[in-house]
Amino acid sequence: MVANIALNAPTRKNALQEQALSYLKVAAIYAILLLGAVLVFFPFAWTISTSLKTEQQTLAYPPTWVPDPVQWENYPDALTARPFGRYYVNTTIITTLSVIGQVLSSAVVAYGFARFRFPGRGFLFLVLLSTLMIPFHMLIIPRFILFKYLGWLDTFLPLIVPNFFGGAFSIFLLRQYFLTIPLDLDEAAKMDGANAFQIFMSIILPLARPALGAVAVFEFVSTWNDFLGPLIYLSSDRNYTVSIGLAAFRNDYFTAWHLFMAASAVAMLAPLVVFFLAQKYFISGVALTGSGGSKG
Amino acid sequence: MMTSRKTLLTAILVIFMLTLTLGASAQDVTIKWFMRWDQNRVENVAMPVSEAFTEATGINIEFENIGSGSDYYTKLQTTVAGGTPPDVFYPATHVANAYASKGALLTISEFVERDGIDLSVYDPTILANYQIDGELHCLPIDHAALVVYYNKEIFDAAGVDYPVDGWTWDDFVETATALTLDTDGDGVTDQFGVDTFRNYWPMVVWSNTDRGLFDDIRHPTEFYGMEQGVIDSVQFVADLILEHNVMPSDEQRADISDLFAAGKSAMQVVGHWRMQRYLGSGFDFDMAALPLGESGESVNRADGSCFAISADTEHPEEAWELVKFLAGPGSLGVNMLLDLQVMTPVLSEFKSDPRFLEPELLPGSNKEAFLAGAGNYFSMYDPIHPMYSAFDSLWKQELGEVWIGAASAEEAMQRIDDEVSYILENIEDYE
Repeated sequence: MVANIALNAPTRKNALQEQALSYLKVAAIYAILLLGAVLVFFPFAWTISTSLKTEQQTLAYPPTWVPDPVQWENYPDALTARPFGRYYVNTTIITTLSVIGQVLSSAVVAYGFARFRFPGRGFLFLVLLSTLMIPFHMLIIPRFILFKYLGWLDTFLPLIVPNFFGGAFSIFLLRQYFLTIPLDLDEAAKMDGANAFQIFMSIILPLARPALGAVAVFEFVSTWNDFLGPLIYLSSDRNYTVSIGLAAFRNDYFTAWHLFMAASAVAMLAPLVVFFLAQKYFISGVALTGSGGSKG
Repeated sequence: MMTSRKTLLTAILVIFMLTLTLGASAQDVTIKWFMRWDQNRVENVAMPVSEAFTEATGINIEFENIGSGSDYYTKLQTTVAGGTPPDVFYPATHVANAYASKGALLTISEFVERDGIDLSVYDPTILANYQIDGELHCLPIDHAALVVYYNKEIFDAAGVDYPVDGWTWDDFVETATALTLDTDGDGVTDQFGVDTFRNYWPMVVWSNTDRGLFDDIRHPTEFYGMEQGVIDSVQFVADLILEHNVMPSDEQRADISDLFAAGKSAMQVVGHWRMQRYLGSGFDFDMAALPLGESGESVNRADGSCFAISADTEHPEEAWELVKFLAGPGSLGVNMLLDLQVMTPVLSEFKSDPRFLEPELLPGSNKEAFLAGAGNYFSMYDPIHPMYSAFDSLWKQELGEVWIGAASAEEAMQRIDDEVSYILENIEDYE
């Protein structure tokens, strides 16, 4: 008791100090986060700002932040300059089917690599991973010729079908996640009479939801923003995607920044909605790939 | 009953097959036409020309446009290599040459001869850029002639005389210096004499030396980079930024696409393609011919774009008809382009056309400035040889140091010369 009282004074002081320190820590963390948020928000804010300027204002020197007058007409002007409604529908079709294809096929292949022993498994996995190192540009012409012989040029098929054959990165990501699911669960299911496919469907897939979500979001973003693929494979206006439509505001001599940014802002809506809906998966996906520090 | 049904079936089949055969006749040929134009030209030239062409010939056109040059060439290269090239496309001079030397372009000399097209109506230097061993491989439409645009209002406000034909680079520096202003006195330049044109440094070289950068534009064996005239020309451009401070540096430009259009520079050295934009910017402007250099000769750019036909086309005759319709003497395509005020034509009949020289949009303007330098045309992409891309990235890297004052023109040209000598010794590797 005596000892307690004796210790009380300095401990209280310590506690105060500690509390102050923890407030400081929190403040510092928030300051850093705020700075990060501002940095990330900057291009977005610039897009919105430019999308509401007149053409003359986009040229202003030094550049200004607040549009004056606010040019709301840029939005209808930009969206009717080209058939963006159709481009939006096309992009949605391509992206939705690509995401479904990528998630399903990659999950099946990853399941094979994670749960089955077969000769050459390590080697095949290595081959799979090494395909990640082939630059996309090297594949452009061979793939183009392949799709030409299949008669798929100027259709959505070259942009969708390859996704049904898995993607090396998605497979890798899913395999690593599947490996963390305890084998005991598979065995328990097997005892209950489940076959490999049933285990996959009712044990692995439900448990791997965060990883599947992450793969879906990655695929969504990359397909939605893809420019080179649609540029090369699509040639009719009716088949164009949003990214190709945006390029109409741009040429070697001139970019109509105000219209370009207005159309970009609208094009951004879909990924934005998807991000908010799938935020949980997206963040766990970042953690999974290791780019976000420790896996919380 | 059975027989009549059979007869009916046969009749239907015959009619169906007849329709198919007729449908596949010449009337149904479709030409793929692939362009890299801006929306203005797509809507006001490509679309009406396509319609008029189909009406006149019965040949259909499938039109595709990609505005950005690099994206355009990516797609073009893929489709050419992939064996499904467009029938008619629009390469720049050096690209046309590269494709032609690889056999990807249809030679049009025979068509030209057969249809009695008089090639003397084209400037010979310009036409020569599209010929290999005397064979013409595409029909040029424009050349990227440069002029000095100047903002009359800025000149008037500063009480500076407008540029006159025959002015020199010294006059240019003097004029630019008088027009470079720090209006609010905060030590930061608010108005520049001229917007940056440093990538056109070869043009200054031509004006000083009256020759290109290599001894032979098609078969280069010698590079003139270490000659004093070339070094001085590069240093002159750098000094506009570093010494005279009349041309903005990268930081000073702050990535503004066109300071002249923004009303923040008194002059701009650029071609016809920017005119539409300046017409929309609301100030009064005119054009002056490029200043004269040491050689005393007026010079200008020869390079531009042409309409080419793919060597793999299934419809060479129809594709040629389209090219003729677009770029041939008296053609509708060139006529419509002239009305738009977007290019300097290569056809002499159009150069003297009042629609070009005295446009309604710019009454009393000096459009003749675009025609200055005839007889001394040079290609900005020099040499017209596959090694150009190596040379292009080389000078961009080395001269980048000169523009920021980290190297003198002489030091940079020495390094470029070393590399280019090596390239020229091994030139067959680039062919």
